[in-house]
Amino acid sequence: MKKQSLTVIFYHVLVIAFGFVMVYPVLWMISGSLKTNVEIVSGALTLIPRYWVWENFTTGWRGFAGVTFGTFFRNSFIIAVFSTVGITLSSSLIAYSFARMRFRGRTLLFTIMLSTMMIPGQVIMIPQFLIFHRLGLVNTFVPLIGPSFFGGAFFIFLIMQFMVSIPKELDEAGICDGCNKYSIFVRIIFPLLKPALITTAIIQFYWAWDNFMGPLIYLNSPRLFTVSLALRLFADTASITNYGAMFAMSTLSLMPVFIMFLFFNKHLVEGINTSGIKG
Amino acid sequence: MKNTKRICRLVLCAVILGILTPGLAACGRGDDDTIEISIAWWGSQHRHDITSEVIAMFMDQYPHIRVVYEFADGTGYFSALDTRAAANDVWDLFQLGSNYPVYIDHIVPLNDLISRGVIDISNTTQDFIDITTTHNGDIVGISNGVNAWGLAYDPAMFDAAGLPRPAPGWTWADFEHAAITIANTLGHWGMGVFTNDAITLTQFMAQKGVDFWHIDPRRLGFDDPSVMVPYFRMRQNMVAANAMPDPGEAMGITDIEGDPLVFGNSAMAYLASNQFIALANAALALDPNRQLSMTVLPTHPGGQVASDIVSSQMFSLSTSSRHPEEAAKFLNFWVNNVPANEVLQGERGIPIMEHVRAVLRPQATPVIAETYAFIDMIGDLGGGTATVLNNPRQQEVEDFLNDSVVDRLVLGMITPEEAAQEVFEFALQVVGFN
Amino acid sequence: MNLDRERISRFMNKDVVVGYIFALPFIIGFLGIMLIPMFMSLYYSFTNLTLGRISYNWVGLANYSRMWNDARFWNSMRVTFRFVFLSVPVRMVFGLLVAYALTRKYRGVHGYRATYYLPTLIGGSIAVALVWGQMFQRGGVVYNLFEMMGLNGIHWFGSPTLALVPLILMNVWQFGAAMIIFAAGIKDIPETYLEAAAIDGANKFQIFFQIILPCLTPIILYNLVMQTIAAFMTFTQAFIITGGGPAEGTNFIALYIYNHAFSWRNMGYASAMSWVLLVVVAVITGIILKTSKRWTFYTNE
Repeated sequence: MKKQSLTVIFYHVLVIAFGFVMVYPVLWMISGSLKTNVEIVSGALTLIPRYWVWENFTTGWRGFAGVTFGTFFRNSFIIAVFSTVGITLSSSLIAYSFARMRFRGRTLLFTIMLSTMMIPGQVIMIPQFLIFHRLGLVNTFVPLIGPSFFGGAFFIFLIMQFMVSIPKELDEAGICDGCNKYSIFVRIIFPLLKPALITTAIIQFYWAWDNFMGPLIYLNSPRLFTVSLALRLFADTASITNYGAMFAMSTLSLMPVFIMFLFFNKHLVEGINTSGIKG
Repeated sequence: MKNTKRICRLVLCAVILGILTPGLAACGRGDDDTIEISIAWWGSQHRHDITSEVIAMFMDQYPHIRVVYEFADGTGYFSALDTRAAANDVWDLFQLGSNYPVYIDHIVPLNDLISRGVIDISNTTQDFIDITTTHNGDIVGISNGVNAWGLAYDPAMFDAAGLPRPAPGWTWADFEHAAITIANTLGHWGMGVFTNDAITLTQFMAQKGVDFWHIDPRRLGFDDPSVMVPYFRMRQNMVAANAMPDPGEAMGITDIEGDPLVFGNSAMAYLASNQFIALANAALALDPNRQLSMTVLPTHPGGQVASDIVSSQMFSLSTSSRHPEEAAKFLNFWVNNVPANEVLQGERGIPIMEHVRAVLRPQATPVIAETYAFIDMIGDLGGGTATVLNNPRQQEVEDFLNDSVVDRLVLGMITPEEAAQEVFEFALQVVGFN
Repeated sequence: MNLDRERISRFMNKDVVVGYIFALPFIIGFLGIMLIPMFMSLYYSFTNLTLGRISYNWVGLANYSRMWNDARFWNSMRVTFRFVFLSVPVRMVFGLLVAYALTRKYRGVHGYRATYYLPTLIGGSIAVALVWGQMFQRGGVVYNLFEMMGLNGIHWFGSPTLALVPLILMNVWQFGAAMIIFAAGIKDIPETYLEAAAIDGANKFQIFFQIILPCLTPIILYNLVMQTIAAFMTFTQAFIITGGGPAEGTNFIALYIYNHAFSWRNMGYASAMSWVLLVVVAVITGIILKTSKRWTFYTNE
């Protein structure tokens, strides 16, 4: 008995210690947002700032040459919200087709869909850029939002998994009520998909929020920059790096993700489980 | 339950509206008689701040013109420019350096606007106009200021190491010796980083009368890589002797205000004279008693100075501009308006307009005065004004030199001879793609 | 008239029609933003397409022969392989071990799992990359930590080989997703298996290696494939933290392609490299799938 509880304590101590090491970089960043530049550069390990520099947030927020972080956050929000709406709607439509309809070519389409998950983005990045370029859409949000309206393989798969669990009897009941296959989707299936849609929305929002390469390639005007692009300006503008302000804005940039993590943890975990995606 | 749901929905709508409306409001404006021109530049935070200030001053004076602006760091700027150039949608006024030949198709010469008096150049000399004029006589821009490449140094550190202070006529051997002596006696780097080895190397070669680039973009100015070997040998020696940072240390130095010279960790820095202001001011902010000076680059024994006064950069008028007249008005304001230039304080180089200089020079802080003295020094040494042309492949060659060859050289992975050979072969191959 | 409408509505309600209508976004998207771009990029790989220049020419295999002789390309491939084959397995092993440790029925396990997942959630952000770079910088937190342990400070970014370490560590640090999937997999293992093994007198190691691990192999396979592909595409970390240096020691292929395409405007050459990358990734995925038959076990339910 005694030995048992010792093991348990040892287990908890070990897990907590390792967990602390895991989140230490995050804690260090948050504490860095309140430290002086000198203290950050000196690489002090302490998590409690020597002087509490709340001004880091105000100086950081000021942004670059009159474009504040308010603008950057707004841009990130616009892109994330619209691409989330787009991918949720389109993926559920496509999932309905694959999960509920039996037709020639379905298997082929489905296989193609699954295989697109494995195509490295790099291969299509250049021609995609050239297409958007020719359409005059570079330096707009369209290349960052548009593609999400054509569904994402991963989300289609996720929603399909969920749809399969909805009993077919419901569809049939709908037909009796005079519904056709379109209104069945709108009135019966779509509302029932809610948990899967929430998971989709959260993950897509988070991906769009974190996306860096897309905005890097497509956005040139600081007024259109997303938060991730703007953060890079701190390190890059050929002026002395204000680490305190940079960490302050970094911390702020992660807030939406933290909040989602707190409130929708379950959905996230479910999403990861059904699909086994990367974080 | 139902109620909370409704409230949630309302809040969500409000949030989305809040996000969208500022953007929409911005679109709605502009249907009155104001004319909109756009302008873009690259540079540092400080430059962004003062430039946007001058733009506001301009709009106060010309209420019917609205100036929208964009800015970026160097790389971001040129990738933005490239995409716009391909779409024929370049900003009305866009900043260009010596690489303007790459964009020559997108530049409207200013000759006509100048002869019509929209842009007033009566207060400058032909020499200064020539530095931004092509061989065909097209004035492709008005220089934002002139500068010259040189070395910033800390005289106190030279004294402490028992070294004579650098002066015109000192040689590369003196330079190497000084840097290594400082490393040995003071434990500091003699030299911070050459911000761009390609520029230093080009000047090192020019002092021997060898051009790296050729007028013909498909050729190089030299055919014997051995001219580069002494430079690479010096570079390798200096890092080996801890007189210069190795690549890992250099990685921490990303900008001019973060140069080790600012923090007293090195005795010299290589820069353009307008950058000296930022560097010296950053040093003064840390230590108000700090005194830094500027001098010319070392030369080969008995060789040429090969420091020329060049245009740091200029604003050019783009072919896609729909309001060239208004853009030219801004340009005129930009170079001639005294209060505007009092804000700018020669941050882009020493102004070319005499009446502007006459106002600014007496106002000059000791730091800025140092840059005036430096430009005078070059003038006295017989360095002329010059236009420098760039090859369209220059960036690719410079990146290869800076990020690949020099790193491997100073880490001892290749010899100076191999470095020279690699650079030569790479540059030759790449210009062949032009 | 009435008949017509009925016929139309019957037609519209056919599975095949509904199926294609609902699948339309995918079909358009697949053609428009995947398939056509892929073939365009294949075509461009045989041209000297330059960003910002309107005209370009067919150059045959010139881009591919340039690649063959391009030492930097081979270096990029070498560095990328090193990164992938060091970081992905370590990350999976970590995920597996931690998942196993955190499926114990102790209090607080859920909280622990959430904590361990946090780095994965935010690890891809620029914010964390910036912090990571600062921590491994000379004089940074990690450097100081080593010094405090009596080791001379290690200059992580001072040598091409060492500079890979912070990037690999960063990738391993994000084992959270793998952990969650494995934990779910472990929970799905029928209790009867474990009980039967316990009755047979198997110890914990035997249970882990002979029951849990084999049961997880399908999940491991899927994760291995997806994470390997993702690791080959690693861009942001190198772009932000090391910029590919020093001496191109972290110049991952994705970064090299990006630079050719967007910094040096060699769209044609970059397209050729991206196709080679596609083939390499396909071959490696193929190899993993092929060998997987030997080490994956599917339980019949």
